[in-house]
Parts: sequence; structure tokens; C-alpha cells
Amino acid sequence: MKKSSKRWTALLLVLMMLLSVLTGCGGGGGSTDGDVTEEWDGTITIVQSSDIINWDPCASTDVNTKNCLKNMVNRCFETDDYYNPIPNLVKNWTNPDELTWEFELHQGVMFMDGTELTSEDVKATYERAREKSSSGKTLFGPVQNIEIIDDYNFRITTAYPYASMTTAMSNTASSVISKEWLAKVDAGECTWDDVMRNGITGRYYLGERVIGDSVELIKNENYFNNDVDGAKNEKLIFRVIPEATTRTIMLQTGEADVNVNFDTATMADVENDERVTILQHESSDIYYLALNCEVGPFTNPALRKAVNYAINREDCLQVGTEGLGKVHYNVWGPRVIGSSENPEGYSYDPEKAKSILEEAGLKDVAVKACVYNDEGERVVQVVQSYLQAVGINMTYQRIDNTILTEVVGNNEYDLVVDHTASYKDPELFFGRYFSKDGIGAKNYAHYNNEEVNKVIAEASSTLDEATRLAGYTKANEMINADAPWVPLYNNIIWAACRTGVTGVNLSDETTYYYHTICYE
Amino acid sequence: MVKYSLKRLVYMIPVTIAVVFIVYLIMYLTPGDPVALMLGAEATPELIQETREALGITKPFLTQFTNYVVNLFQGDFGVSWYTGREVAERLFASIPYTLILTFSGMFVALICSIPMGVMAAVKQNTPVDYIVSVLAICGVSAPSFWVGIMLILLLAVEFQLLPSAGIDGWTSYIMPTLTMGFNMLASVTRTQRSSMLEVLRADYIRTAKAKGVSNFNATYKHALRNAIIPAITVAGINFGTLMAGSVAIETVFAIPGVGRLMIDSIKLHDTPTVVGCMVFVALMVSIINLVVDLLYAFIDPRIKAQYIREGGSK
Repeated sequence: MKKSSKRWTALLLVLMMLLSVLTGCGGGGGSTDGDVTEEWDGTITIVQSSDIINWDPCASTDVNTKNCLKNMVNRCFETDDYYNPIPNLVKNWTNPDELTWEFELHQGVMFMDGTELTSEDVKATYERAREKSSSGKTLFGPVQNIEIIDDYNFRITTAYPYASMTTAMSNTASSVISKEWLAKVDAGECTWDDVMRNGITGRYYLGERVIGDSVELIKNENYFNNDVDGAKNEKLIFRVIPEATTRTIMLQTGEADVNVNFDTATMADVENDERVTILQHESSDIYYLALNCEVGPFTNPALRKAVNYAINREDCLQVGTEGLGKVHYNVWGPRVIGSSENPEGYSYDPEKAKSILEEAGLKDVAVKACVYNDEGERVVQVVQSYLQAVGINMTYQRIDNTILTEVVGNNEYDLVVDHTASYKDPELFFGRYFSKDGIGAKNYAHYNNEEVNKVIAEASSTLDEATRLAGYTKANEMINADAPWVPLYNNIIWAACRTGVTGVNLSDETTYYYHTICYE
Repeated sequence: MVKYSLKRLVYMIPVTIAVVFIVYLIMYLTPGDPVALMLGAEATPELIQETREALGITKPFLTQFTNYVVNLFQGDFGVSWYTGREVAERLFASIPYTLILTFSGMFVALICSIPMGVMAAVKQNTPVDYIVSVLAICGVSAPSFWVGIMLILLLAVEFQLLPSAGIDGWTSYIMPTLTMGFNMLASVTRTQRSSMLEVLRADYIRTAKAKGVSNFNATYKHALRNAIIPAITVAGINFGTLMAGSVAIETVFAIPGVGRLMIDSIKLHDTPTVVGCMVFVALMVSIINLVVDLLYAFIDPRIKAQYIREGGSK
């Protein structure tokens, strides 16, 4: 190579290195790019990982769709950050007897098309939810009749005392939509976008929507309760940004104000960046191992108990979430009615696990596990090593999440790594996770104990809080004693926002109200 | 020429059917239950089964496939198993983004790579040649998503010149276009360089120069016209790769194009949407291949004469 050529090549390499350095140094800390508060035009841009799937509250199952819906469509009850129902469209309610609920609606609640909300709209909404929504079928299962007393009063009668009625009425599937617009959309005479601009009463209505890119929600100036809890911002723009790094970068550059799907893998990029504030909320969900109680080695309760003692949950938490969470020992989440910290007293005690196995005469036990995501795969490797230490050989297979329900329902695995959503009332999740109704669906442990079913049924069939609490507590203890699961940890719900943004309230429900968000 | 083009267009019909068959079969054989995903955790086994039947998923493969093809040729792409909405609605909303991205990426790549390839050939074994070669190696080896994120860090975060993601005016397309073009630039440049080197050594170029034609005219008027055909072929072949590569770029830059739609739908086992996206990609690749073949005729009169002969004889 000639001398001049070498010089050129060297120059090029230096330039490339310089470029890498410039790029690599980006984003670290704290450059200021103007005072947002002074320039704020009332718009809040929220980045989320996926697009809106379907505006129909009865067909919406994904979190990001529910997030938007909840801000546009009112329900008779809203929920606070810990899943407690608080009245919204409903002004007062009474229970003349244990089977009857009478509700009074606020007067002057106007739909976007200028018509007033009446009991007819609530009835039409609930009946449609019962007919069309899988969660609606569960939530309104005990409802026998919805009767209109007058324009602002309606009565619901139930087959048995149904204490979760107000919780059911706070669910997304119970979002109240104008009867007229529901009829139109079901007849194919208008689109759901039209409904979200005309047939709703919420704090926002649908503005411009670019499929796959963004959704704009505009403040409803005629919201019935604007003076008390109306929107503090003028407009919400939801932008669909699938890549976690890009979502974080958009916060740093000021292109977004809130990232509701903050990925902790990008934590290191922003934890020292004064432009970004990280928010967290201790979730009530559970990461757990479901042990097949119907077929295979885990039909032996001693083995299930031994496994509960054999695993160090701290290590599972560390590899699963890098330690960002809290170890958990109860099959019910921390804020579920009737749950206590560690009712059965499980802890990491390999010696106790070994002695239980020995007493039960269990030797050379082999179990087959399945996982369906990265976090599960990391966790199951730790579980594998702890089980190996007490003499249980575990193999695992990673499967596609779309076949999970099917293969687990067919008893193809002894152990499944899964996580629950957050719940408050056992009545609303017990059937799904711990009864025969859930086998073939979410009851991955194939657990069914008639005694527990009876206790739950008794607790659910009264409106008396003390009786319910006692019943649920007893059921919780019984399930923990049966050990169909190995609860591992609760996750933390994460979000991030621009520094200066206030009013981002994370909740157990993992869908949020955005009307309180504004700049200081 | 017209006959030839029509013949090629007719060939697209069996190609499309074959693509639909293969993709449908793969989706059919892939284990997974879109209904369980669609209905979420609250669904009962009975409801899951009812929904499967309503969507026609329980029908035999050939029945499903035949129904799909019949509907497709009536312009009906079906209904998404996941969203319950018309596939065409979502697909046609995504197509413009992918087309803008792919064509702009291709344009940038061609505008840069052909002169670079020519320069590298003309200045063989000089610093210009080395720089072009290094760039070409970088382009081939650097994955698109990495290049994309580096550009975001540099141009959006560090210098704050461009928006980092999403669709917010024409400036949103600059970084994705550069990212897309960078990868294609490399292969076209290398092809252009090698074919140019070959042509520059040909007898007729030497003769032209001996007859007093200037270096510039010999290179750009006589040599380039012959040397550009392999580069166009590579560009045409790369078009398919570019569309496939748009998946990563659309994800990094949050562009709601066909690539992202396809990946999201694959994850959800939403067969009608996946097949719809693949039909679009197959048609685009077929059309681009036709355009490339027709371009040969414009560049090389011998090929044009051959097309006319073939068209006339059949």
C-alpha cells in the first residue's frame, strides 16, 4: 500500500471512531432543552408499545386499548389505584335486600351527540356485555334482571348475594355507551370511531387516529364532572412505539411526556438523567409456578410442599426482574381480600424439603416444565437448579404462548411458569385459577378442592363484609396448605415521565386515568 | 414489449396462489391458538371453542385455503382473527408507509452506490477505492436496527436535528431512509465496482479511447451503460430483502408499515393478516422484477429486440 493510501485509510478510521464516540456519549445526563412548563400547550404525549385493537369495550382484552377506553368512556364506578370501586356515573346506591341493588345516576350527564345519559343506556350496555364479552359473562353472571325505575334510577336483581357488583360495574366491559349508538354500530351503520366521537360521556373523545401510529383524545368540555375531576390537560396523544429503547429516547428528547410501557432494560440509560423521572407501583400480580394437581408427580401434596420449601425466591426475583420486585409466598396477591403475608409459613429451607421428600418416600422424581417467555425461562433455570439440589430432576421446554392453554389443558406438563393479573376480590378470580371451571383455561394447576369451593361459595353469597373476609381468609389458607402453586414474587409496575410532569397515577389495574397529568 | 409485460403480469396469478398456499400452510401447521390470545385470560374453554368455530379455524385446511383464495380474487382479504376488523383496512393503511420507505431507501442507495461503484472502479487501488470498500463492508455487516439506533442517538438525541420515531412529517422519513439505503448501498456498490472494472478492461473501451474519446465519455457514456445491468439486477433482487428488512426499521422508528403489521400478526397467529401482507410483498417483488426486466430493454437494445422476438413468436 502506498504511503498516501495508508494516510487516507487511517483518517477514515479516525473519523469512524470519532463518530462512534459522539454517538456513544449521547443521552447520559442532564442536558437541558428548554423549560417545557412555560411553553406547554396542554398536550400530553404518551408512548405505548402497541396500537389500539378494538374500541368495543366488550372485545377489548389488551391493556393499551383499555388504557384509552377508560379515559373516554365512563363506567358507573371507577377504581382507585388499589382497585377499590368509587362512584362515577352513579350518584347513590342502596341494597333494599341482599339480592337487590338500586342505583341512582347523576342527572345532566351528556353524550357527545348532545343526548342525555339515562338508565336505558346503562341497561343496554350491561345486557350487551353479558351477551358479547367473555369478562361480561363472568362479571354479570349472577345478574338476573336489570329493571328501569325511571330515567335516572335502575334496579339490578341477582340470583344470590353478589358483593362484587360495584367491582363488576367498574370493569372496562361495563363502559356505558349510548343505547342508540350501540344499536347503530351493532347493525353496521357506523364505525366504532363514530361511537367514540358521539356515543360516550367521558373526559375525552376521539380525535384524529392514524392506524398503527397514533391516537388523539381531546378534552370533553361538557364532561359532567369537569369542575371536580375534569381533565387538567387539553389533549392526549397516544403514540405507538414498539421499540423500548426508542420510547425511552423520546422521553429524553422531549418528544413524549409519559412512557407507560417503560422497560427496565433501559433503566441504566435514564436513571441518572435529570430530564426523566421513573415511576413505580408495587403490583398485586404474582409470578408463580403452577403444579399439576391432576396428573403426574405433583398429584402428591408432599411433593408440592417440598417444592415450595426447595426454591429460593430471592434468586428467582433477581434473575426474573433484576431484583425489582418483592418475594411472595401466598397464592393470592398482596391486596386481595382475605390474603395474608405467608399463611403457610413457606420459606427457603432445602433441608425441610429433603425431609418431606424422604418422609413421603419420594426418590428420583422427574418433572417436566414449560415456559413461554424470556422472564419465565430465566426463572425456570434457577428453579431447575434448586430442585436438582433436593433430588428433583426437572426438564423444561419453551413453547409458544399461543399454545400454552391447549398443551397445559391436555396435561402435557407437570409445571408451568406463569403470572397472574392484579385482583382485589377473590370472587372474580377464584373460578378462573382454582376451580374446575378454569381447567382447560387459566387453571394451569388443574386444582379443584370441593371444600374450598364451598367456603368460597359461602363467602361470596353474602354482602356482609366480616363474613366475606372470614370466608376468603379461610379459603386462602386452605389453598396455600394444598400448595397448587409456588408463588415467587410480585412485580413492580414501571412508567417514566418527563421531569416536571405530575399526576401520573399508576394502579393495580395497570390501566390508568390520564386526566390528572399536567406540567407543574 | 406490451405482450411480454402482459404475459409477465399473468404469471403473477399462479405466483400469488403459490405464496398464499405456502404461507397459509405454514400458519396452519404452526402450533398456536389465536383465539386464546384474542379472548384473553378470562375466556372459558367453551367460549374459546365457540369463537374458533365462528372464525372457521376448525375447518379443514383445504376448505379454509379455498375459501380464502376465492375471496381474495374478489378483493376480499378477510377479517383479522385478532382485531375482528377487515384486513384490507389495516393493510392499505400500512402500504403507503412501506412503499415510501422502501422506494426512498432504494433511491438513496442507487443515487449513492452507482457513482461510488464507478469511482471505485475508475480509481482502483487508490484511497477512494479503499474508502468505498470500507463503507461497503460496514453497510453489509452492520445490522439495520443497530444503524437505526445509532442514527437516533446521534441525530435525534445528541444533535436534536430530527424526530426520533413515529410519523411526524417528511423529516420522520430521513433516518429510516438512510438506514434502509445504507444496507443496500453496500451490495450495489460492490456489484457496480466489479462490473465496471470488467467493462473498463473490455476491448471496445480501449478502442474508443484509442480513437480519441475522452476518459469521461468512455467511462460514463460507453462503459456505464453496459456495466449498470448487473447493478440493476442486484438492486431488483435486493428490493425483496429491503421490504423484509423494513420490519426491523419500521419497529425501531415506529413506522406503522406492512413489515411491522406482518410481525405483529405472526406473533398473534392472525393468519388472514399475515397472508394479506405476504400477498402484498409477493406482488411488489413480482412487479419490481418485471420493472427491472423492462429496464434492461431500455438500457440494452439487444435485450429489447429479444423481448420483441419472444412476444411476437408466442
